Amino acid sequence: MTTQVIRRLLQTIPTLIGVSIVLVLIFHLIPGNFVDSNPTISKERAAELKEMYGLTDPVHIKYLKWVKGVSTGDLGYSIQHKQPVTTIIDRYVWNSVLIAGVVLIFSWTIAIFVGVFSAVRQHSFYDGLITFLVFAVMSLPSFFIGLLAIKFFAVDNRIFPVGGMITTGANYEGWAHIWDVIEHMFLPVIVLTALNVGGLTRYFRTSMLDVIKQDFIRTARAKGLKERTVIFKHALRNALIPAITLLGFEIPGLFAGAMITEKIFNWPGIGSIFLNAINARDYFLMLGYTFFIAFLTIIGNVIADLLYRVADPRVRMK
Amino acid sequence: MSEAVVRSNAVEVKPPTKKPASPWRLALREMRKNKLAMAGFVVLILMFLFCFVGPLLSPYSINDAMNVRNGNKPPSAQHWLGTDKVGRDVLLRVMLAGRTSLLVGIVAMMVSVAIGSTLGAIAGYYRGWVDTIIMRLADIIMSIPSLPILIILGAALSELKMDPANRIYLVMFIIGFLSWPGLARLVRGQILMLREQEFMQAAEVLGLRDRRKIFRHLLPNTVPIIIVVATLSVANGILTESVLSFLGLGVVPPTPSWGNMISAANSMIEFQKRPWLWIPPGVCIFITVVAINVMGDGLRDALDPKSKR
Repeated sequence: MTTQVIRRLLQTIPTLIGVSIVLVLIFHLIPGNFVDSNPTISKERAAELKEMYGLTDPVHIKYLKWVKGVSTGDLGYSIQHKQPVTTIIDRYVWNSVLIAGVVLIFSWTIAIFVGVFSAVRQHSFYDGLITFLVFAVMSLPSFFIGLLAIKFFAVDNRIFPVGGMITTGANYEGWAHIWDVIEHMFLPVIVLTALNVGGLTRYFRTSMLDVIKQDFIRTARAKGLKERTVIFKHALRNALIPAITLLGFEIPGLFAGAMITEKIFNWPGIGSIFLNAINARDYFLMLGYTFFIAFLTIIGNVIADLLYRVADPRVRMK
Repeated sequence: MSEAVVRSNAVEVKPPTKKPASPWRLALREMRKNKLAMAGFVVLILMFLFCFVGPLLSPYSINDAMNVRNGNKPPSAQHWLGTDKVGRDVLLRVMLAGRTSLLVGIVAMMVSVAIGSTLGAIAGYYRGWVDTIIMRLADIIMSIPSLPILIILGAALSELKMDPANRIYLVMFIIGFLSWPGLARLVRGQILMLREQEFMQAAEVLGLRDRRKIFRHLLPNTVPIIIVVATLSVANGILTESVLSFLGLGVVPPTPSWGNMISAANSMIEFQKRPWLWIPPGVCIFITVVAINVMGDGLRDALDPKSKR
């Protein structure tokens, strides 16, 4: 097992190097930078700043400098925030993780139950309705549903706050603060759960259908077990095994922050910080964030792979 | 629907003296049984008519002079969806925007299919180091988060002061270019399997050139998978374009697109008081994407024998 893990991790190195080259190249080629887009800086100072931040270096020097930093856990310096990129990511990413974590729990719970029921009653009216609803929520443009939610729940009927994470001006402490944050989380969590739950429901439905048709389920029924025991104890357990790998794929999503939803709900997460960085042309922050997510994606794939091996011993490493 | 049923019965009743039903005909029959998918197909056709024929029937045209005094009118008998701030008919703009959005989705899909199926086929056919390089490249592109990169490239286009009319072609190409690896993997998998079959040994014996073997004998066998992925990727392209345009980084005015029409909602007054400006294009995106997804799923069931429900 240990050798498998090590081998699998070593395989990611070429991909990581490739990703870093492509990213630095893209950031090198795009025009404009923080210094030039700021009209208040004098020419001499601008040249000085560019020199200082290495904006004038040729691409391979830029790359080597950046990689050297990354290997020591330094993602560069955010000119816009005047702080290291890692500090910025660390400050805002947890706000994103908070939302993403809650959404993960909600969407998995809902998807498992809805998926199981829809599989058990395959071809029923309920199943057809669920299938249609699943497609509907999968097809929602995130920003549009966000705007509609704000218009309906926050502007027309003032049930939830319009955006942000805390009520400005009110310095709540303790439980009042927690409740305030929960209130602000409501709409973005609902929107993101709706966007996530569709694909998951389909996944659980298919997985459950595969299991239900197998012989051991018939045996369980023949033994005279209660239908509930058959479905939840015998079938669901087996249907969940392939889903374990899905958890690996959820890792980057947990930290990436929902860019569009965070922007619309003005949530101070890493995704909206990234969007603001674009307007300021704060390239180190953008590069650092993009690489961070790419890194998590690759690691997530490895974890998914390994989990699958653990869950299903038939899969063996060559 | 009833007509469809009658026709499909007619196929079944036909005496089997002639050639047996082709896989395509079987798939078509399967597809017709799927009411949801057929409904999606019909809605999609209606949407195309709405966008491409609708503007011809409208009493207004894009060349109408702007009339600020007639601006910001709520929906009425003359203007079914009201007017925007320079007095343009919103219904007409929604239809024209639909042309852009559908076009972006379709062209992006074609780019992605062209690259994905070709590279996938080459990787699967030659294997060895060619395969390694192509699949590593696919891995790299798949690992890079696509939305941030699209947004960065969109910002670069803005920095270059690109002409709006040409810009939409670049947007199509970029969206298509970032979405090929998924298809390439699927096609490669299929080709790896197909190239070991007997008809390929026959192709070998006939001394066909590699290019002919790949494009005339191998790729046509992967068409069902390509069709399914292509359909779903049109929906994806439309959604991606709408997000980019909403952020002002995709298709930019004066060219209308559903996404950039919704960005009217960025201004507080338009958002609160003039919902007719941004709700119709959003609803159009939603309807189109649902229709495509439902149809794509039906196609998958009909074309892929392994995914029978």
